[in-house]
Amino acid sequence: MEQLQSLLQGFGDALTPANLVWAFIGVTIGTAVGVLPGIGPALTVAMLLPTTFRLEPASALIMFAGIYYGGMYGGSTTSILLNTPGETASMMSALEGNKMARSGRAAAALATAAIGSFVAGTIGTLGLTFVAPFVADFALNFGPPEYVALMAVAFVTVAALLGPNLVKGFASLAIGLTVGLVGIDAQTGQPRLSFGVPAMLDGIEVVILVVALFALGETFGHLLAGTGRATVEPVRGRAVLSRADLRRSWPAWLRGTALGFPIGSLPAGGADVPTFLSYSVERRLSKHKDEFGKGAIEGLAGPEAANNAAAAGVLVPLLTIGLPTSATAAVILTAFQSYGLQPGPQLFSESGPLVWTLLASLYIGNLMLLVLNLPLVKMWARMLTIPAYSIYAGVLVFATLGTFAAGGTTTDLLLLYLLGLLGLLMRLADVPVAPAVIAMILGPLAEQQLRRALSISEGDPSILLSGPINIVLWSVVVLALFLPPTLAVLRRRRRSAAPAGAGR
Amino acid sequence: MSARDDAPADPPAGSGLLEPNPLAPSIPMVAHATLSPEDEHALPAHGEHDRSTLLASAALGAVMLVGAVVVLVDAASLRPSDEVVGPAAAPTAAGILLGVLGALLVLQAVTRLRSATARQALPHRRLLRLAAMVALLVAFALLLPFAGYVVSSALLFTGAALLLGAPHPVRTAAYGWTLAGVVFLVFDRLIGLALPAGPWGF
Repeated sequence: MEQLQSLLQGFGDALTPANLVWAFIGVTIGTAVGVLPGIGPALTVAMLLPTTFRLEPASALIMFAGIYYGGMYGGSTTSILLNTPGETASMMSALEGNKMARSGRAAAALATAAIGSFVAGTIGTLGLTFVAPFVADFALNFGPPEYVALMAVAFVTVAALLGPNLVKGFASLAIGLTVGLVGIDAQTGQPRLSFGVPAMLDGIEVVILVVALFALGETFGHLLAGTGRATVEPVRGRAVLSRADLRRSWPAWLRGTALGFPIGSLPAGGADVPTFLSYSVERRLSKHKDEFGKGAIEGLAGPEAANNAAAAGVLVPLLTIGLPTSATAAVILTAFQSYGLQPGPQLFSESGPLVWTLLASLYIGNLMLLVLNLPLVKMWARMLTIPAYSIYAGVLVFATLGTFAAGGTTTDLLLLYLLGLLGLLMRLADVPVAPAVIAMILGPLAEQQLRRALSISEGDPSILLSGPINIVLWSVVVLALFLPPTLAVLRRRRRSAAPAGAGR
Repeated sequence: MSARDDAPADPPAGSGLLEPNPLAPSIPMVAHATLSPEDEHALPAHGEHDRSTLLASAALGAVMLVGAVVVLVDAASLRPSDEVVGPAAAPTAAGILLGVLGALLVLQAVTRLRSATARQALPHRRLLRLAAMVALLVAFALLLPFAGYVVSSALLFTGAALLLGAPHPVRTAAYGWTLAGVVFLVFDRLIGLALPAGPWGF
């Protein structure tokens, strides 16, 4: 058991006081930003990234991993108590969770979410520990054509699954690809789309796009939409599960994990899919079907577990092939790159100790999160009473700080504002922003791999379809283009065939 | 996205819980594909067929069309190399993608506008407030190199919070100065990020 030994060594490194402190800071910040509406882990890591360049890579990455996991825990608290899911992944948790909170069962809802997250996170991390080295070994054989195909899969699935329709998903993708093009062309040294602006010659920092789309887009949107009123549901009693609740929760946790980890670890943008699937599965299997829509605990436990297991799964393609499939993963990839590390098959052989320390810190962070979230949940819930104007004004302060630290010029700030207005327009138009972030990061890599592939084949494009792996991957691309719209149309047709009255 | 009892003076845009929220995350296609119709209806409505959403889609499409022209013109000005995938290949592809999708967005929005559900337009006050926020941010960017980090950030926080509806100007300003000071101490003094110091050194 080579992995076990490496993992034990990783624990040895992760359990040093300094790294424990970084993990603790990470999970605390992560939970806090997960709870605060309007800030997510992707934005937080992006804002902190330029300010942490003085840290050791291991310390910073441990902190970022803590933020990543912590954001998932905190996000569920908000969906349960406030019913404003900030991201697609927590949409399904809000559905049953908020109903439970409204009927006075907030404590049970928070407990099943936290324990379910812990169970799924731990199993998911175990899966990651044992699957990742194999995938990395397998990926060592990948050449440029395989990478081109993998990126095509990521592009198409992200756009097809995250958008409300294909046009909107791909519109976001096109915007991200264009932003990614800005800067010097690696092959000929010519500036592209820079218009003679010095700050744009080096390209636009990923941090700037993420902060613009998430922080500024959100703040501007809040300013425009004004304030509706939503009430924070009170938490009564301790966050513990009754025996009956536990009996209904644990199968849902395990089923959610079984859906979440495998789907999350596919090299396709589908980290949100398992939450929807898990909800449907729980509804179908439940003995309490009548409770669904009114606060069924398994309808919260399943998706919440699926969400956390998928979050662990997303790290598989990220660490082993360098392929981010969610916005947060894309920002974490940038973090690796800023420390001169390139996630991919070589990462395990070249920076083995760092990777294993990171993996070990995921177990530790998960345990810390359970302790932070179960007994202290009321403290986190109180954060929901922080008025929105303070949150958004504070976000602006940190957003401009991160941007200034990343770019260092006034032009970078002005660019941030322009992209922020673009983000506002995307939000108002119901265009998802995550595909843009992923496309901005993967676009230049895809161009580079395509150039390599075609220079190997001396310009013959058939190299892209050589070998079974490539053919499978390109078939997935075609499937991803046609399957979701077809399924959606089928559902819609079935719905209109069903007797009227199903509508609102 | 958050919505609590910190409402600024203007009245809420509508009533009822199912009021479409323009900031709710969009309901992805995977939801249509996996959920049963009644579950889908329980999700918070974004108002995909809302007049304002459609107008915003059309505007975004128009921006993308302009962007496509800019990208394609820029790509045409690049010196070609003798490689198969030259410097202009990727920009040309991106430009075409931008153009086609921008046109489709406009088309989609225009055809749906006829059957759109009407919703009251955004009050002009809110648009003015957005303009004021952008002006405040630009002022921050221009002021930062001269006035130093703490002063500019304190002003940014105070101004932004007031625009977002903070009730107590004095208390808000106190929060702003505190936050700016703490951020400066942590990131400049402790972590060693060189933040602009201004004439007074902070």
